[in-house]
Amino acid sequence: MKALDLKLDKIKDEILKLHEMAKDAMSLCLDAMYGDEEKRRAVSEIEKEADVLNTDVDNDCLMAVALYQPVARDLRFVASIMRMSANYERITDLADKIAKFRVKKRIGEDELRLMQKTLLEMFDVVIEALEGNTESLREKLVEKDDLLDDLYLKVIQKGKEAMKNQDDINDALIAIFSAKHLERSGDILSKNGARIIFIEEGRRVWIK
Amino acid sequence: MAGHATDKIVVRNLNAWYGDFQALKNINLSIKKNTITAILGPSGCGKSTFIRCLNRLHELRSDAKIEGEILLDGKSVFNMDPVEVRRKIGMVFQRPNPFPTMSIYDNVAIGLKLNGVRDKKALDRVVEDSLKKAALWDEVKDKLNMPGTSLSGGQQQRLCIARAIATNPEVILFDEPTSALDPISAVKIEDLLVDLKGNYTVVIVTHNIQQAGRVSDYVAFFWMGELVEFGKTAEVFENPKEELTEAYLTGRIG
Repeated sequence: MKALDLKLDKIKDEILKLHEMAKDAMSLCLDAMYGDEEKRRAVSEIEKEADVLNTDVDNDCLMAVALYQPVARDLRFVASIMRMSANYERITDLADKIAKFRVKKRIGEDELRLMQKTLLEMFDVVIEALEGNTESLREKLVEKDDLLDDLYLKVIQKGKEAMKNQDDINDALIAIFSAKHLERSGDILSKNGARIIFIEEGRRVWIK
Repeated sequence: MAGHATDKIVVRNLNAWYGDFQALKNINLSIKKNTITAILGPSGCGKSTFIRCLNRLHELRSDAKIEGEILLDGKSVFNMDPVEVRRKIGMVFQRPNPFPTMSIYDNVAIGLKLNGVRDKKALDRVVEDSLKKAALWDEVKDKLNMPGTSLSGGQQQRLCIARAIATNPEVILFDEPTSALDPISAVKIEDLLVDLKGNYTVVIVTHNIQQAGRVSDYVAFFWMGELVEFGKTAEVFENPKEELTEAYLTGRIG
């Protein structure tokens, strides 16, 4: 069905773009938090664009359902993309929240940087799956998500210690919140990975 | 081996021919009581032949041959009187075909009259009940003596459904019942199908994939005389097991 194929191709291009936008936002947000104003503006810009693109994807998916009544893989694709699109938009929100923080002291920076690096690797795993290679997708995402969880706990620990000093409480809280947002982004990306498995294989899996 | 208790019809190793052409190849499936089973597939795949085997219409053709088992409530239809089989397994065809010389009333009552029912009150009751079940009573109750052919296409098809219901069948077969109707009439028939399954077991042949999705509980996909896949409609439509089913449902073959 050529008309449906064209519509699905368009939706796929859009979701790939959203994926890249979410990844870009995540790659910039820590530098922004540490004072890079240009990157802060860039993340804010990405977040706004992602809102619009998410609405476009939502609309395209609804139109695909209304006009072409997709079934089987096409149905799984359209239904999943609607969720995935909202998930990417949520990740850009979280990146924007991190980018808007301002700190004087870089508490837990090593752990936060490692969380960011791990998260960016998860983006690469997911994009590979979106392009058709779902081999070991679940295992790869679980491994990286577990690492994010461990690092999050470490940041909490470092934050708690830093809070003993009255002057560092604000920066410690920001470190913990940032770590929480990075950890949450990992969860959300894992959900997108599960959705890709559902699209490609028709299996419902839980990645966490 | 008996079928499951909820199986209304069990088909085993069914093969059917028109002369040398084999239209059905080793079909095995069970149709559950009070469900709607949609038979899907492209033209010439054996859908209509399949349902015509169920009520022994296929064998009326001089060049037809049939092998295998069809059990209705565990009893072989081939050991039953064909007229009795067709009473128990009614059929509604693609094009509405009310008897042109008969009134609306007589179109519904004819089956009973042919079976010797003469009691006017009994006939009145069955006609009204059948027309109500066919969701037509309110539209025709004041013109029962008008010719059946005076109705619209959608109404004529519902009249044919009332006629099928009047003889108190257990199973009703529908051979593309909406393909000759406008969308509004088609929706009325689809709604009716869903209502009917409370009292009857329904089998519907359709070309319309979305219609199968809307109305059926189970779907059987036929391809070149073979049953490719059979399962719950929701499961087959979301995640078909066979690539051929996937390709057909998504319109990538036909």
